Amino acid sequence: MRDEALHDRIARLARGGARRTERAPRTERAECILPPGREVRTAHGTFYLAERSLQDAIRGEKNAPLRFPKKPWNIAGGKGDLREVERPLFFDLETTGFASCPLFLAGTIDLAEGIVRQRFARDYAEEKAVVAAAAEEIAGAGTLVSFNGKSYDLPFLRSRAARHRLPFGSPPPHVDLLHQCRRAWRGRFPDFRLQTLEKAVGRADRTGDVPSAEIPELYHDFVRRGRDPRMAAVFKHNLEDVLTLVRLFFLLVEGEKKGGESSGLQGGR
Amino acid sequence: MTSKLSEVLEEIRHDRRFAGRIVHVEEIPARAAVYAEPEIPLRNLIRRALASIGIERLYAHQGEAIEAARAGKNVVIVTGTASGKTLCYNIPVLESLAEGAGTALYLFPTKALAQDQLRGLTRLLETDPSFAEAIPAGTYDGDTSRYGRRKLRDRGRIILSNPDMLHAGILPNHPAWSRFFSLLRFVVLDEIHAYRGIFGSNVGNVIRRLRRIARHYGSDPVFLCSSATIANPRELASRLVGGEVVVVDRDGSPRGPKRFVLWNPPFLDPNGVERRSSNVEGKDLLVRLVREGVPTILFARARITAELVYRYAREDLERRARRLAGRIAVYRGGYLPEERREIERRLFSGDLLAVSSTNALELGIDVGSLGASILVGFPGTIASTWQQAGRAGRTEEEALAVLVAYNDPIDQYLIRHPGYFFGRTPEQATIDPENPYVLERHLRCAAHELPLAADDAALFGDLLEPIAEALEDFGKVTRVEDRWFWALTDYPAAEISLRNMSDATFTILEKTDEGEPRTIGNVDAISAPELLYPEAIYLHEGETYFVRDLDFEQRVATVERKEVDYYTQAIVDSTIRLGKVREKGSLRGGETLLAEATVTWMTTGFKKIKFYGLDSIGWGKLALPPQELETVALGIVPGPDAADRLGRFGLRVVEGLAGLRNLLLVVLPLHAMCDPSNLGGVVESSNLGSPALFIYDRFPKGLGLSERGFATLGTVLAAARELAEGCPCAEGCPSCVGQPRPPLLHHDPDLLQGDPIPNKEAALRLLAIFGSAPE
Ligand SMILES: [Zn+2]
Repeated sequence: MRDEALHDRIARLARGGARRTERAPRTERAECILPPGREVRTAHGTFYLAERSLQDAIRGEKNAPLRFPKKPWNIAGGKGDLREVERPLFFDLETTGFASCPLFLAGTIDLAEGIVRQRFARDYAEEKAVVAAAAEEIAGAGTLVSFNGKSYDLPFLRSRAARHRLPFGSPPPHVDLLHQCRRAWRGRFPDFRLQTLEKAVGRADRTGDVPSAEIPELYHDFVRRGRDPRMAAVFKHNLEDVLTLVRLFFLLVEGEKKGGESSGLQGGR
Repeated sequence: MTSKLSEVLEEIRHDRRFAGRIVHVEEIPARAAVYAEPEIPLRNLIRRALASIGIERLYAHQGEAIEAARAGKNVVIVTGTASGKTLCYNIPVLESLAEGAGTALYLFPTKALAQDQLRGLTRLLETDPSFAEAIPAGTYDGDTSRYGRRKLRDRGRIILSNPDMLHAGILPNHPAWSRFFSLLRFVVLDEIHAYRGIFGSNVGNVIRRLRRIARHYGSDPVFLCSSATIANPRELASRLVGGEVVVVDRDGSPRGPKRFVLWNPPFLDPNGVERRSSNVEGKDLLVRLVREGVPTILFARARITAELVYRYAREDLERRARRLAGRIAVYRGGYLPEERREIERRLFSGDLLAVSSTNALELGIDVGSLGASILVGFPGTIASTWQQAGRAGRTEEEALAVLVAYNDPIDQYLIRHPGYFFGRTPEQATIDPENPYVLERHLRCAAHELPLAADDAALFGDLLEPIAEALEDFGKVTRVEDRWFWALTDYPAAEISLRNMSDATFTILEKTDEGEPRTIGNVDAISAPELLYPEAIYLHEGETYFVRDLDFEQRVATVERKEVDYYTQAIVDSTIRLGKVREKGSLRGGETLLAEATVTWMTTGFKKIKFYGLDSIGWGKLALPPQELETVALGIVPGPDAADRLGRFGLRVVEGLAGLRNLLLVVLPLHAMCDPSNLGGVVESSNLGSPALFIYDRFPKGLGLSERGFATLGTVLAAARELAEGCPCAEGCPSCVGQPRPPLLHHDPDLLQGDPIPNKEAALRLLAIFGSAPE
């Protein structure tokens, strides 16, 4: 029982002894196991940025090719009306639990620029810079597009910003695809989890993926040891999640163009 | 129409039915009010608010407290019940909050107190609609709705809560409270005497965490504390808040004359062994006062006693003054919150004339103006005695307090020595936030809230770094550069309780012939096997309920209404079993050890007791699962010749050890910096084959208390000897060898004879053998 050994250690401290004399050396950061990227220095500290073009990111995917629908990209508004989505920024966070725990990876796709960005905190101390940069990018976007981001990702980011005493302005209009999918495809799926919907947009290939439930512990291990080869898989997991957002979004836009019918939908029941 | 209390007392004194009961009357003189205004007068807004609740002038201590708070000094207010303590913090808080954008956090030891104080605060705020609008206030605890919580987080300016909620609900989610913390000007800690021992050490660390979070958001609040009379309010307050504290203890409130009566029930037999039931005596006195129209509170030592006295009093009134029978009630823990609120409300409004209560009403819930307080049995500490007696006499009118003694050695000692009783100073309240075991738990929570840095040692002390390193080695935190970050997905505060109780509770369900079972109350998991075993009679509002079943899995006790003429008392068997011996030591005339120990309690049966009587009319056997405490014990084992050496004087070793146990339960808490209730002690010989004394920590795995006793045993034994020798008593008294061991919580003291006060000479001779001084 590790905790009993810890109790014994405290007992020795209580008797005035047992201060640790040497500290286990920390392994160096192993960027080689992360996707290619660079360190970014900001006023709020450093973080690791893996940035590439959207074309590059989807190249070699086994999935159906990404087809951009013609503009305007309209999507259902709150009252059954249509609203045009301009300069969408897709985003998805990887966190270590609920809002009192840190986040460590913020993935975004800016369609106008055609850029995929993954901002990564190599350790807990870098979280602040990740939060600040992600918040800044979101504030500058035309429209924010997320999956369940209204209840999870955005409040999480806001809470972490508050935690770091960072300003967090009011975000741009926010399209939450969870609500959109529910509305468009009510009754067609057993549930509306992202992994379920992803099959419907022809992205079934998740080989080598890390189960979401293991991600928090994996990250804590990564920081503890300074390396964990599985972290690359977490980057991939996050990238695929954001890419799925783009595909879902396009599917919904196509559906609206066809009068609310969603063509291209696979695997529905 | 209330009769004059002094006349009522005179009548009772001369009433033949009460002949011989009153053994002492202590006259506590009246005191005139002393007023003092703060140097800079109160703002008009505050003045108007006070005027509209009938307050035109401030008492000296209120003025003093306001001055100190305005000057940004931490304060502890130590004045009597009903002295207007609440205004000492409400005025400076409201004054400051009305001016700027600040916020205030009020912490109370119980949810009930917070809710009660909100009522008082609201009365003040609602005197002016704009005031109430500008300063949203509310209670934030387990009963607050989701919506209410959110509203308070986003807009609240005064939050009334408790340390447990701050620890597990607020601090871990501090980003959601960033607005509140960044504006935090005041923290009010009410009734801090409740924060003693390990509970207080825990609360002290919660306060350190609070200060750290406040600092993170850029604020540095002032602490305004209040305490009942204890020996060391300044020390307690400054250790709790971690800084200098100004003591305000010149009570300027007026007080009517009070009489404190010691009351002894008469002997039942010519030999002078058995006395009449103290519960019935308490009831007689209660009924008498109620019939005279005197608003009265009766304090019972156990829940069952509060119920019994209530039941007896109601039956009596139904016979003799039917219209009054509905104007008394019983109040205790385990009732549903809405039932408790209802009783508090009826008491405050004067709708109730009397209440039979446990110490649940000892803390400052505003019960309105009461004339008399009856204490059935010595509550165990002088501080509690004055606190309970102080619940009567909230105005300038005269007041009465009566202590009805039980027929046990401690109560009878007090009755024989009134001078001792009234001359004793109240107890100290000791805490030790630096206790490494306690600290380790809070450093986990703190690391989860914000990374730990070496300079946090200014708050948490020098053990911060070694403990953080230990947490790092065990994978709880990870060091990044110079800070330790929480490195697990679990939420440490959820696993750490500030109190020694498990938070688990059993629900009490009443089964009826028709309809769904209904919840009539609840009980903590530790007490359930002692109160709700199968076939027990459970008393609720004086009514008898038969316990059908106690389900440990579902944590449900099923009861049904059944009219019987008896109540029941559990027979609890307790044993201590030594495990691995960690260390051994020696004394001149004996040995010592520090060992792992398992203390077991088990309800093995029960007795049936006829109402009004003290005799058992039947019993039953039970096989309930035992409750175990795995802890650490200090053992003191007299050497083989101790028996001979004491025998020469006609004394026995076990007697000496019993006295020593009681002495150590007084002395060791001062060295281990805990409360006597944090320790247990037994004398027994089954573990080692010869009589030995074991003192153990009443916490799972131990919290280093007995351990500290073991490490400093020479000093501790010398202090014990000094205490016994210096005590002016001849044969032992409650201050030295006779301190009672913690009573069984749920036993009717009427039925316990109590252990005799051990022989003082035996303890002193034993101490001499152990070599703390030459024989
Ligand atoms: Zn004595």
